[in-house]
Amino acid sequence: MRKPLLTEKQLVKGCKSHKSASQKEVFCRYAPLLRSICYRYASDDLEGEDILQESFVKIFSKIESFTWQGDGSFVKWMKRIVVNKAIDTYNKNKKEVQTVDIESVEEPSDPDLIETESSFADVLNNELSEENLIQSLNKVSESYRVVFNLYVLEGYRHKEIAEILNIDEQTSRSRLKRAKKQLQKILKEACMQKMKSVI
Amino acid sequence: MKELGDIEQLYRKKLEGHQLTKDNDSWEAIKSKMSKPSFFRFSPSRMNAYYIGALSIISVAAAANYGPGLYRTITSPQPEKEVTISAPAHTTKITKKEFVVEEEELIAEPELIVETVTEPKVKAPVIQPEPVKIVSPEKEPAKEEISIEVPEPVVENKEEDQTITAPAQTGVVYVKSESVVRKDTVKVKKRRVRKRK
Repeated sequence: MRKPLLTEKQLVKGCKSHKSASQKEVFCRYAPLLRSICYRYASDDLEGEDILQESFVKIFSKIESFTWQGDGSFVKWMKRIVVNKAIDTYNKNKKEVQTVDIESVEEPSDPDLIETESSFADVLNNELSEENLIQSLNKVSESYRVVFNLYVLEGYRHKEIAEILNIDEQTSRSRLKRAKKQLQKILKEACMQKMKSVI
Repeated sequence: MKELGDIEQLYRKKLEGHQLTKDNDSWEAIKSKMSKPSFFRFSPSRMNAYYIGALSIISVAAAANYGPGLYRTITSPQPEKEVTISAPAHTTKITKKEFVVEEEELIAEPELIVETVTEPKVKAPVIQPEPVKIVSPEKEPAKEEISIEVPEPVVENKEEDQTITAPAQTGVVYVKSESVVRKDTVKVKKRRVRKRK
């Protein structure tokens, strides 16, 4: 018979006692969820895996500072550590800061894109998998990608993002627009390839 | 512009709670990364830095108590040894420094630092004129009874100071008045210690 699954609270207790079995259980249970976050911020799989490993090391070493606040609080806490670790990695990798004025962001004016709008949307929704979306996001410039992740997927506001990344609020807005524009272009190419492969 | 909004919705919808499973040895890598911090964290159930520190302290203490011979081979400078030679005239302190002799200087004699301690000043015996008792004014010329305070513990050189022969019991000396020699100072011969080459 299989052992009954430990609750989140029991796992936290085990991790606080530095039990290797509890730590491994936490890793096995939550690594896929946290890996998805890491890969969104990383430029490639290798960097994503590095962020994941360092995040787990930090999680287990800082577990004493975590206080239980009901179900889901542990996952939320771990997600925050992963996002912070990803931002740290971004700050390390940052070599040149690209500052773009909001006025300089151009609206997409590709006529082909408008023509194939309906099919494009269908492919986006139905054909492209989650992995395809992450891979497309990896191709976006790092400084735009991190803003896109924080705003769209983590739910931060521009003011908070500006504080986290030590940039202007306006820069955060412009980077988000740039990120979306780049992403649109990349996704379009991915859709075209998908459509060609179907035909 | 509509597409840009769609992209946001698309990502939110598809990646919310998304899980990415990979078959790799990430757990082993995490374990190895965690091994160092856990080594420095105290845990009664496993060997860590605290246990190793305690063991080393105990072993050093045990070796110091039960095996002092083990540490004779240590070539660190030994502490100064004080040799006190008590001469009859004075006290001489010879401080002997022992060095760690290098290979080339093996023949060299250890340096001797001779420190001569100055003799404590000897106070001349205080001759008190009173009470003077004339024992027999008719027979003898003049004998005076003089009480002298003899500072016995101060004067170490009793052999040289032969002019005053004071019986230790009474402290009263019978001397002729002319023969009282007053000594203010005591000369001390310095003993030279030759340095051997």
